[in-house]
Amino acid sequence: MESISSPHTIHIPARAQHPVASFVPPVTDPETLRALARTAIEAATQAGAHYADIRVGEQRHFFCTSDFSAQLTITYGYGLRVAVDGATAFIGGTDPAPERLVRAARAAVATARGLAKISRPNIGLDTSRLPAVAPMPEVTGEWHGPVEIDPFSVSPDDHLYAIAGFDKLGEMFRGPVSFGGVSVTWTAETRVFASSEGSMITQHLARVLPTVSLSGFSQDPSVSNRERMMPRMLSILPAATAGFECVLGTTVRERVIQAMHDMVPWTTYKTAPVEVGRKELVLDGAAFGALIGATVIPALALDRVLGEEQDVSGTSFLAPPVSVVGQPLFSPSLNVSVATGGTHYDRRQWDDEGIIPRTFPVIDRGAVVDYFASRATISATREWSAPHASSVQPQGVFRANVASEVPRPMPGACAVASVAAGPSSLFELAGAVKDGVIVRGGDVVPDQQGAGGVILNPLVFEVRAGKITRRLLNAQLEFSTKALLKNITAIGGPSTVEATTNWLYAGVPVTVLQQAVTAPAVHIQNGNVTSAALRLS
Amino acid sequence: MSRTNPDRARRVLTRDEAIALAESALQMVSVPIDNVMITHRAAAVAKIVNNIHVRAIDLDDLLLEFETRVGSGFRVGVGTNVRDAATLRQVIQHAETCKTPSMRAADQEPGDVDDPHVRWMKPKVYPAVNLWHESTAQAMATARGDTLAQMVATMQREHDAPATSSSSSAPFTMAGTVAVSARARLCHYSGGLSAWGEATDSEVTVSVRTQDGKASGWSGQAHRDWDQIQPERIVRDAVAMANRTRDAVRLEPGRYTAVLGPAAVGQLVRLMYAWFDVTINRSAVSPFGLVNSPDGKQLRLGQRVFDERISMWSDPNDPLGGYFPFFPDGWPSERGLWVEHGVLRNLAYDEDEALRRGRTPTLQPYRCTCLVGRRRSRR
Repeated sequence: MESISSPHTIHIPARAQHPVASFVPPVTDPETLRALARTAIEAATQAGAHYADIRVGEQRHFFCTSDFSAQLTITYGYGLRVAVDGATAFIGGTDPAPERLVRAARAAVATARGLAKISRPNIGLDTSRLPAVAPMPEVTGEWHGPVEIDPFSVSPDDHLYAIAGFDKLGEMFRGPVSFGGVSVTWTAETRVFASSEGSMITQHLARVLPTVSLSGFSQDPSVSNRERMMPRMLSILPAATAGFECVLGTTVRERVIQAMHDMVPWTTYKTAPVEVGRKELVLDGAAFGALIGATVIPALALDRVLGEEQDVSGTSFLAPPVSVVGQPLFSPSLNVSVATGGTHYDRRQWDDEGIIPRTFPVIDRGAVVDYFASRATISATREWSAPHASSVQPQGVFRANVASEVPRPMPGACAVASVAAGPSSLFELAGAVKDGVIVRGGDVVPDQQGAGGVILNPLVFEVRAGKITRRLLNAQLEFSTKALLKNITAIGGPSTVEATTNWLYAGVPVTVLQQAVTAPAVHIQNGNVTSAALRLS
Repeated sequence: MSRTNPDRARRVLTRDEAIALAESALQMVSVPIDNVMITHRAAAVAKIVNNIHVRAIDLDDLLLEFETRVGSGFRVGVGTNVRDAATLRQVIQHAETCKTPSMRAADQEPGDVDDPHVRWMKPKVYPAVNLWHESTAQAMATARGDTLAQMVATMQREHDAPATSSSSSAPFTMAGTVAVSARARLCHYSGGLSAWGEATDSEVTVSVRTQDGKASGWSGQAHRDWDQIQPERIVRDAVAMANRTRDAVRLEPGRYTAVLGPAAVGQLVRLMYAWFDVTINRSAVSPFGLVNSPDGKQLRLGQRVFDERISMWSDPNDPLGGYFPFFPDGWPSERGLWVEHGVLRNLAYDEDEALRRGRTPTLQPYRCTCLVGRRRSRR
């Protein structure tokens, strides 16, 4: 079933000097959103809900590209969750009329009550004694995201001027590398959370999701046009919580030039068809971040671990927790944690359940020590929580992209730790490789448990006796996640860290969450290199 | 401004209601508006997981989009989900504001009868389809709880049945989803084109696995007519598949003869939709394009591309895979053949590409129905 949360898009002139905000009605007064939230919570409580919470939001996106395309999207929505006798019902909608929310609240309570009845006689358990959502103290407040220059106060002309500057830099560059272009999605949202416990929170959220790419061109005259291209996504502008200031200044431009210079040596190698087999691997930060983001991180979401997504997005190879937590599954040099605060992507003061987000480890020295939990799943963690796990208390990772969608336990940003004294470049990591490959970028396609997958379309370079010898064509990697991460032998230093953006799909109707992952380059023994050419034959 | 009655079974606008809404909105406009698009969607979903945790999701979404043109082919539009007159008026005024920055007088009245965009707006004829089923519309209000209860009971019966040698080990846990939806779309043009579509849809899926996670089974069914859905059969099939996968052994790498079930074939085929787009087949990387071919042909039309037992087609009236008989912008989309006995017969020209090349938009590859049931092969 397709996603039902539709954006309301306005194609605005890419060239205009009025502020972006002038093209749409003024931002709704937060008090109006709060009044709607109060109305729904009261209606749900009066209808008999044991617990109710609601997210009401007005979200604006401004998307612009360096090739003169711009569009503005407004999404209004509400998402109401009620619990009755251990069953929960969620109603999402886009009609902001108060009477609509009242009807939605009554309908949600009736649905939950009906569902609670059907589970008891069939399963034989009294679910009315189960708390559907863990109780929390009342919380109130208002918070503004750390934005210096509101991107919606800037004109499309100024947006274009800022990002087209990157293109200009690309045009001025002389060499076998061309600049691919920039697109930026700016998001501003007023989101209200209220609950039957008395909580009432207003947050003014800000996110920026840029895409910057370049392409090298192989200088080997023997390759075809298709094989000549060496596309790379750059992390010089990572997904973040920030305002227009993040695309200004000289630092970003210097990074663009540096990235283009850095690409040149990679275009100089002769090419050859890949020979399949088990080899040493050096994954760059982008490839490793994408791999962790597509396998380990989704597998840590408790909705998947507990089977709630088993007929949709999948289950988890990190289940059951009781036999996973604390076990040395991966290399002891692997550490992964949730990143909050600062300019980390989708930073919030409270999550979509009213919990303050915390920074906490999920992989500590190669062992799973925690999962991503919500107030609805937190009770499941008590039987296996390690002493240092944080999930016995909700962690503040429950998020929905828009208010009308069902939130999921998934943090906005995760970080794989680098090693302070680790190798400072891919070349240094490759220096220890006898017979292997360097893998740069690529798309990771996991299986439904995250237990394994394939890295498609990476740039792959052969390494012999510590030296890069050739670029390999049609190479890809198949992997078993546990085996691959167990075989990590070295982790790169901070200068090898790159940022990637995950797109995580789940649920019926489908919802999508973006997530930023940062990771260093790594050296891995015994990787399985295969050939796309063989696959197609 | 009219609203739908929240108490009736039908959750989306009727044709008359949608046209009335479009006409009333057009009356508020002071500059020419090319079209009004109205999309109304509603969905009701219920899930059960681990046999016990039940939850429901209800969604309702109405979108009105107004579009006009600035200059040659450059369109501006604005959308809203609010239907009260004051808000509509405000939104339309903003749409008009969007036109102002670089408009010239000549841009405001695109009246050239040879202009393809003007021809576009003239009335069109659409194939008749029937995608709306009252059974499904009714089911949105009533079916979820009953169906889930039935599914849970069936799974319990299957689980409690006398153990066979292969099903005596770990017990099952089940996840099931019941989803019912309705959708209506009106494309209403000032030039007379008026395309209306309404469709219901439903799907039930079940995933069963043993609690040790070592065996699992899946089954699902999708149909626009809720009466055709067979929840008990779906549960039984999933349980049977899970039983067959108990005591599974590791598969050694190598080349095997594989038998794919219809759902697996559908998952494979649905990824092919983009292949039939004529644009990508003119690029360097294309399945049906011939780059640098000696005879100068660019496309593999008329050539064998698949096994001769395979044919693929699209049909708005397909009883398993029917769809609106028009493109999202209102141009008719009729039955078409892609592959006939393994031979490539047609490629797709979307609206923009067809206008550029002076052709009629033909088919939509992403609504291809081929070989197997619709949901697994439809995008």
